[in-house]
Amino acid sequence: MSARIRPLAESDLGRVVALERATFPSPWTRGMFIDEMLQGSSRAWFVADSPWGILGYAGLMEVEGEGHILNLAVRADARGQGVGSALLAAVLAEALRRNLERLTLEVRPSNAAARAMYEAAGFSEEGRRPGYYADSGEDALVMWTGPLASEPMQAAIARVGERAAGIERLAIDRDGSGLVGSPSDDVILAIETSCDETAAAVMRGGRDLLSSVVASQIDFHARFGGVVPEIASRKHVEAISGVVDEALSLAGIRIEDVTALAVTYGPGLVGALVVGVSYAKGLALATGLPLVGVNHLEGHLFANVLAEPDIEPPFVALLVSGGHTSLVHVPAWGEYHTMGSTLDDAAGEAFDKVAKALGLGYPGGPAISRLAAEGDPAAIPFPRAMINTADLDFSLSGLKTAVVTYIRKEQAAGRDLDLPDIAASFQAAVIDVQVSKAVRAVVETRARTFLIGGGVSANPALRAALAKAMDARGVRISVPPLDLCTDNAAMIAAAGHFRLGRGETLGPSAEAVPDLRLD
Amino acid sequence: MKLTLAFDTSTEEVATGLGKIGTRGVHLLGETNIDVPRASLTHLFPAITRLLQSADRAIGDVDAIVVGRGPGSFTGVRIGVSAAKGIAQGRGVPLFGVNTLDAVAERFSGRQGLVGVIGDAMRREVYPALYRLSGHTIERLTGDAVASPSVVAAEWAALGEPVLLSGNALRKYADVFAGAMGDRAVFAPEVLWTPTGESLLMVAWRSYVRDELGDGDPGTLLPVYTRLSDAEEAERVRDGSSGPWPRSGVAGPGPTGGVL
Repeated sequence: MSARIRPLAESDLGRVVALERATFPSPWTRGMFIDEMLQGSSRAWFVADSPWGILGYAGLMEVEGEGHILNLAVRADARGQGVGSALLAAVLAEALRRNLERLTLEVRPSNAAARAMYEAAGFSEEGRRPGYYADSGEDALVMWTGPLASEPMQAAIARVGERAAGIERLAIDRDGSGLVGSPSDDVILAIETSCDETAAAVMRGGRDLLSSVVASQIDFHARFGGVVPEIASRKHVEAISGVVDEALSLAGIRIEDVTALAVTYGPGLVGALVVGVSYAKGLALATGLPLVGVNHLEGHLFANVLAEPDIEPPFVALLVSGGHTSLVHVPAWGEYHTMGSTLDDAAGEAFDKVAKALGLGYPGGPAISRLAAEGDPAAIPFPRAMINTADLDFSLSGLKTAVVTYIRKEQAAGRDLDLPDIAASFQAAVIDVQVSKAVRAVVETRARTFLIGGGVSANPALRAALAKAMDARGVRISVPPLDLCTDNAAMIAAAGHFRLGRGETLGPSAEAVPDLRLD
Repeated sequence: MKLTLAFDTSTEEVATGLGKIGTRGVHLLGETNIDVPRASLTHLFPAITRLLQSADRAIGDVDAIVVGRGPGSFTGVRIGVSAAKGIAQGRGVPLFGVNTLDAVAERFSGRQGLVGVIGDAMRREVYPALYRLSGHTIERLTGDAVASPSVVAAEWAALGEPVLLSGNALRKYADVFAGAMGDRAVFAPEVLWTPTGESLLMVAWRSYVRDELGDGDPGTLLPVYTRLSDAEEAERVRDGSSGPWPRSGVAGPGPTGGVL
């Protein structure tokens, strides 16, 4: 089978952003790619399209008669077969067509394969940008070609063309690409309505994200200080058809191209879950497609795999959101042992309640996190409930009460509230317990990998504290990008792919299970 | 003649019907009506499958979907409407909504006089709807509303003529209507208190011949709620708001509940 190089289309964006995330430590966001597409004729973007999905992409920016090569990425399972050269050949051809004088790019010194490819294409090092890569502090090598019209460059361009011929006879072993579950090239349409986000996503082969659409209802719940289940259910019914249509359209496919359906059937708000389950059963009846039921929490685990495809069990995961706070040991995919969980409020709930008490509005997480950055986390000694107990359970309602009591006392004493200090001290109390229990879970299981997932894992201080604690023990930590922390259907598609590979499907009488467990 | 699949899950019953709708009426191919309180998500799809099998038809033969939009149990209505959206979108066929109370009144087609349908709205309230039947025409006299049973009973007692009463709220409030209306309250037998597959198709046919079925877009069809969520109702009381009722059933994101 072969790949072909063609211009980037808007419908490729989902796949390109997913590949960008899997390739670069500081990936461009979807918004940055959209900005690029709006730049018009000064840019040219190409993708390598194949029966295995999008295998790579590259961009050219024209600046005053010279060309800058923007991101060039090749999917891990397709490297070494000429895909990069084919993309480079397309960029070179475009540069010649535009009569550009020379081409330049930046590359990591540690990326030997890329440097070799660029050198063969006539690029050579002309300088360094110190500390250019923010994630590692590594310098960037600045490479330039000679004049494109010169003889040596014409010869180099011909060499690139020869290498690029490899894409006519590609062999891609999807099993060897870190894929979880079935190696098939299924196209899954996934639906998620467990709380207050109506989401749909299309994914090929459990990993190649073609589209992901999330309709958030936050604005409708905000003035009530939390999710109102009846409003959530009503908004799901209103949004679901449009969200699914948009996911299909962004993926550039029709419902006839889908090979399986996946839907979150628990845990979550029962009235919200039944909308997604009933709708998905309707789609399944109408199309004859298999319908896979996905546990929302398993979805959060698979969100990490989407971001870092080489994540594999055994690992320990901390799932922390507005509805859940638990530590899960995962010795193998599909085998889950909940080691501990909250006995009362979920962490996100505690953030929302404290934010409400401080008059910060909803959702509370981002508001408290922003304020906390300016405060002293040691200013007020809020309790660290259960930090010394031998188990791995959490309790957060006492902390919330302590914060509310503190606020009342200060107000009664006529003192002004130091909001940043309160936010920072509250947040530190939450984080201390989360980190302490997470470390204990990792020690108990001897896990070498630790995942966090769920909406609260978007909290930068929590991410940093967990990263520090895990780094100190040589444990790899996986933190999904922000749009995969919060509820989405991409993760449901990935988990659905895994469940489909095991042949697990829902029948026509399937129910929503609001208290569905992971183990 | 369009082969139409109709169903309703707004009451304790799951009603399904399959029939051909044409200008002159409905040719019913089959229906199933089962009493499965609070379990419509479990029973709806198996019922549809059985209905299609018994009529020797496949889902691929269906040209249109009709669903009961309520009013009724909020969750029940959403199960039916969501299922209908999924089927219509998956098949690429139009989806039309009918009022669940209309489908109850339809069961008395051919009689003369007033018919009052009261659906159970929980929380000691009912969804009332009044109809005038004459020959084979059915005229709806009141809009969608939610009210206390005693208020509805008093209004209907003041009409000065007998009212044939139906609807699943009679299980709870028959004595309220008997007390207020005396001899003018005529109770229909309980088997006629809910919609059926056939009555749903008949209501759709009436809309079809009046060209009032709507555009068939599954994306825009919404349930009939008549009440906001408790949180928003409490907010409206607190703010003294009495603006028009939002069609979507959610007041909107504004601080005082802007109207969509």
